Amino acid sequence: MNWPRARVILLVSFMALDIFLGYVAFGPKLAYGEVTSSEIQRAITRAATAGVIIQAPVPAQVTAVSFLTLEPWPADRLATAQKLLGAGRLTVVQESRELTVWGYEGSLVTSLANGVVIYLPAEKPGATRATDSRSARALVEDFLGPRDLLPTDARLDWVRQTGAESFVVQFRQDYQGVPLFGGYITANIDKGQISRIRLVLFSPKGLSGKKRALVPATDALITAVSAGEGTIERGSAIETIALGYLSEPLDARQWDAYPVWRFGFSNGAFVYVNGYSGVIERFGESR
Amino acid sequence: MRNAAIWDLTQDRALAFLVALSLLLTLRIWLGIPVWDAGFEPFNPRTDLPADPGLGNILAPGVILVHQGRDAHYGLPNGSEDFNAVWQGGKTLVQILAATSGVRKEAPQAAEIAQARTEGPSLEFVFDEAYRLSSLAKALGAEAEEADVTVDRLIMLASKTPTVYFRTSPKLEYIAYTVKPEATEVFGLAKKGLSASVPRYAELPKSVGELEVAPGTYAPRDTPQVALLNVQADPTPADGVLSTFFVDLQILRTIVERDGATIYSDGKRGARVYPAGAVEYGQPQLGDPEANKVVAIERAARFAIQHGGLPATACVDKVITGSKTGESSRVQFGFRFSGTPIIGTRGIISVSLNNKGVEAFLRNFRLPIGQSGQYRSVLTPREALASIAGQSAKLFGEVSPGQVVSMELAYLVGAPSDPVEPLKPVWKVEFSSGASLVADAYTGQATRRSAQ
Repeated sequence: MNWPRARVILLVSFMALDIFLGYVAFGPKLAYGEVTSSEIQRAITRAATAGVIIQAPVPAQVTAVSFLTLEPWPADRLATAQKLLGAGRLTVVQESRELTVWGYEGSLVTSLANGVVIYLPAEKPGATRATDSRSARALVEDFLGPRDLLPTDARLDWVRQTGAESFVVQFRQDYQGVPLFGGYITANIDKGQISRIRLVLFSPKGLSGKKRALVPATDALITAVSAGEGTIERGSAIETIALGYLSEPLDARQWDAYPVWRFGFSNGAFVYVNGYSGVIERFGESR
Repeated sequence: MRNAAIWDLTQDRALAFLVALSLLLTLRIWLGIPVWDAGFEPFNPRTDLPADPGLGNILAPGVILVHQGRDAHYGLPNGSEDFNAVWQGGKTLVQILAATSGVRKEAPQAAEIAQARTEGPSLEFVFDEAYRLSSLAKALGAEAEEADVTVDRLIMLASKTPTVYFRTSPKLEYIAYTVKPEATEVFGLAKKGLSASVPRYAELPKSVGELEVAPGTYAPRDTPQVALLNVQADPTPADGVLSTFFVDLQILRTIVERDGATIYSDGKRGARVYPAGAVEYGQPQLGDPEANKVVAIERAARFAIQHGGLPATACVDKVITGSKTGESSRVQFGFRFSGTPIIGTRGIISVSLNNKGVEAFLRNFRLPIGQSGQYRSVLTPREALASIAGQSAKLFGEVSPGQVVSMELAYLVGAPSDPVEPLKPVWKVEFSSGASLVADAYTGQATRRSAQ
């Protein structure tokens, strides 16, 4: 055997192999592959067994993501209250460690320690009235937009009519195009006017930690329909499947939002499945 | 020729390196976690915090009183050489239990007990907690005739008629046993000589102000000079303790609280790491409380050993047994430094458990490194009790705490959120009702710890 020649061949082969393995081990891991069509079919069949029809496309790609680090919003609670109340000099109605309530001409703004802000306006006769979903959305946007309180990355999540001239409009916070499900603005409209706005927003600081592979949407789907068996009506459908981040409003300095699969049911319920562990995080929250 | 040989050798080594590298990279891809970078420090308990101090040492009495006649009472603090020579890791108790004939004598009168203490020679084992005798014996590998007696003290009288007395709890009544004639060798320990440094003890008065003191409650006779105790943060890395609770630290989400503490959670369980290094873990689960104190201590010790270790001188600070479904039993461990207990407002290591498992765990260990500042006189036990009596309305309200059953000098570690700072000496006082308090040994300012 010509060992010097064989050695050169082995050196080149192993060098090429190590470069490939190094790329696989340390290279970009946006995609971990895809689930097969038979796995998707298995999830759909399992859902059908539970009486749930899948109307949304089931994502096939298996991705890897990091946590999303959040900080509380707003940084300046008084300035936010001033924007909502449209006045510079406010009256402090109540103040404690947990909350501060400011008032101005019958309107109130409550700012909680965990960052939640609630606006309760005084009734204004003669103001513009919302009569349908579109005008309800426009009413909220026209109120929050000029006050710089509708983040540029906010997206309309849903509008629901609850009665004649009564609506609930929800905007969802996004981060670089990825939904941040815990962050939202919910506006209640009664008699065609805004009666209450609840702002639960966060200040995203960026991704943190190593990227970790997520459980495939198919596995999360099976978990969601299994958990809903017996409580979700047979014949209901999953209308949306989305990947995003979830967080609670917290009275903390900084925290991580975690990836979740969100399944939107036709009865208005949402089921959130932890993207890392595959366990149910929230169940039955409805719009 | 020589250059060709060097070139050959270099190529061989390069090939060996590339083969080894390919194996390591394959391992990383297969296992997901590289063996050289697990993402956290591997758990490595300190050598001076051994994994298992032994149940015989954990359950050992806080002090052994040596009564040598008249007012010659001495206290052997747990951990001292004299103490270890008498206790022998629990062997002595086993021998005493073996020596008892199992025949109860007639209930002894108070005068007989007082005589056992004043005439001697006798040894009195003062336990930190009241234990069911059969459980205590079983834990130490012995057998006890009495199965239903809960005791907090044992007096071994080495007179002409050797006798063993147990004090029952919570009634504080005594029962006595005769001793087998062939098994009196262990009673020789009561006549053993003591080191010159063993402190003198004196019985506390029957009452101080409105506070009643149980007969036979002893405390150091002389007022010691005590300095603050300098400590360092827990040398066991918090990451190491965390890694014993969670399989994969990388999927834990974190919450940085406003006080600087960080919470780690996988969605079901959570652990909080305080800036000073204390670690708190919780996994709520409904269950029935563990009613047997010795079993609770054994389970809690095993859990603590698996999650950061127990100090070599660990001792039982307090055991609170839950009474109904949904409540947990809580075991608080302290430890001893040069014989003096180090206790915490919530325990140095605290484990809450029920029949389903451990619900909560706190590790608030501080490493003592020596005295800090000047030695100062502390209040005498009587002065401290007088100060507590003056604060009793604020401390206990209308409810009587019962009699004082024990009093000892200790160092107090504050709340887990407190910064690492020198520890203050305190008088730790226990009452027959289960109430417990600590009084600043310099000022007498008292604080309630917990109630049963």
